[in-house]
Amino acid sequence: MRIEVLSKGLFSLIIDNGRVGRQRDGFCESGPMDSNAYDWANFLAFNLDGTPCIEAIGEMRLRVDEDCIIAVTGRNPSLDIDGNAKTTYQSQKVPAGATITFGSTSLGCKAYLAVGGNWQVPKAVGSACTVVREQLGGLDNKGSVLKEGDCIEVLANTRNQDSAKMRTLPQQHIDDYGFLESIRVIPGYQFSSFSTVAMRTFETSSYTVSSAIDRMGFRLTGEPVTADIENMRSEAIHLGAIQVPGDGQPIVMMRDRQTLGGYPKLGCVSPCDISRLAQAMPGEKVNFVFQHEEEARADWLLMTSRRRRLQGEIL
Amino acid sequence: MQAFGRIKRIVTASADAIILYFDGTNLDDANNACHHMLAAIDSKKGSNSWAWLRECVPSYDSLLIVFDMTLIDSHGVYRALSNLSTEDIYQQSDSSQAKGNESSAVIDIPVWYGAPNASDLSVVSKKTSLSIEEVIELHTSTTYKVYAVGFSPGFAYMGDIPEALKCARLGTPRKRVPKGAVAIADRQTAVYPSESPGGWNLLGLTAFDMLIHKKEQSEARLKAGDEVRFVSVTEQEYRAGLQVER
Repeated sequence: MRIEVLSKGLFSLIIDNGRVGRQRDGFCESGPMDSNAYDWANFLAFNLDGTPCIEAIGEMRLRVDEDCIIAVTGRNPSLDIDGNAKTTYQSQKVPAGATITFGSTSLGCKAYLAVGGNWQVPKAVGSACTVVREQLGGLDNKGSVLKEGDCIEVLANTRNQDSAKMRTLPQQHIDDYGFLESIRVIPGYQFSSFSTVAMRTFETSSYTVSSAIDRMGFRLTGEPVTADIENMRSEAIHLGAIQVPGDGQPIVMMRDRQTLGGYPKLGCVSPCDISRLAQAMPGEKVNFVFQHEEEARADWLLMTSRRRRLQGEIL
Repeated sequence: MQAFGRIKRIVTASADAIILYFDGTNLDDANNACHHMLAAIDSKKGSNSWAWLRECVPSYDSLLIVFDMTLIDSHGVYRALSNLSTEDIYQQSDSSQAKGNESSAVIDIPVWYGAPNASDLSVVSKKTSLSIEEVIELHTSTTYKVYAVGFSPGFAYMGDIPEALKCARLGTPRKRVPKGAVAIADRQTAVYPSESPGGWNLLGLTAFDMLIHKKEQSEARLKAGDEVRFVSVTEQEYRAGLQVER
């Protein structure tokens, strides 16, 4: 089956779970910005975890030349098939020749399109994930973003199509995006080089999501926080690390971050909250709250087991 | 978590990662300790009791260890590391050294110094009060060690360059540094593996490809611990080198 890109949206990439184990060679981790939405999209489209997907900013339009099953997820996602609005977070049958239009209704947020089947896309360094900066992945394996006229080959999973019980994630179980609740942060790295006052400032102030947000990092603006360190040696930057350069304005390091860096870090955003933060829009206000690593792990185990239970119920 | 052996400090990085900092009489020493630990951990990869290990990312004197939170917590990781006996670590370092000795004489990187699109030689000359010839002479006279690979694919941080050649980064980073540019900053030297922005002082160009391109598994050509020397070549030799590398 061919999926043809009719309209590319603002920034659309082929992504998957990313590159594991190769940061020591300098290859960034990559992977989905909102891994929760990505995982649900594949589950709802009857794919195995880790199957490639499209991560799109803006509205994207595609045409498929065979019957298939798709699912769209993300923050405030929208989907229509041949002009008819369809429910997101739900498996949808698409007839051959139909046009799929999907995106997020919130400007700048990401929507995920999973198409059931086996994606025939090139892999580099163990992953199909597109990293523009590293010229890796994408249809040409040179890190190109999707553009009009591109065709993605997917061997549609025909086995499911007639008999399959369509899957729906009930509304009340869809992730809450937005920042009514604080983003949890695990104190770590150079945490002890920040003064108590700096830490209080960080926890009690609101930070505004700037327009400098991309797959490498999210710059926030607000009360400055500085560390008492002059020089430090470059070291590995983990997902969600909160880097504070000289100007005291925090940068949260995201999926396509460089592997090493020399700015002081006060810790990492909890793995439970990375997806929510990745869907932030410029201008939104975010509050942070510190959480012990063991509590963060407990939250993560709960979140994971809850998802497994839900998937079991939906199956 | 109590540090042990050559580890100076163990610090939480996130819910699913800890970072180890190593001690030594100097940076070189700490860097070696880091790589001995890494080799010892790598040798356990694939064994059932280490199934939780997701990724290790070494740098100058630190090692980030990322684990699968469904299989282990940080205390379990600590136990596994402290159970790596000194023998494990020494055996690994011996065998890796033996391996290193076989394969690696010093790796030569040919450089066309002063290549027009990659030359800050006159800037470097001014900053260091050395003549251009002296800059080249000093840069080629030293054998460097690869301390870390990172920042971008294949980017190897090498050091230390002679004190006299120590040179601050450019005030304004370049938007485009060409692939193969050989550069210095502070006491470090490196080769840009691909075209990218950059703030280091450029000395010339090399045809030496910093990545080994394989169909699905490209990898960095230089690994931490490798020894490297720069050799001055002519423009013709550089161009001939490009043909070979292709």
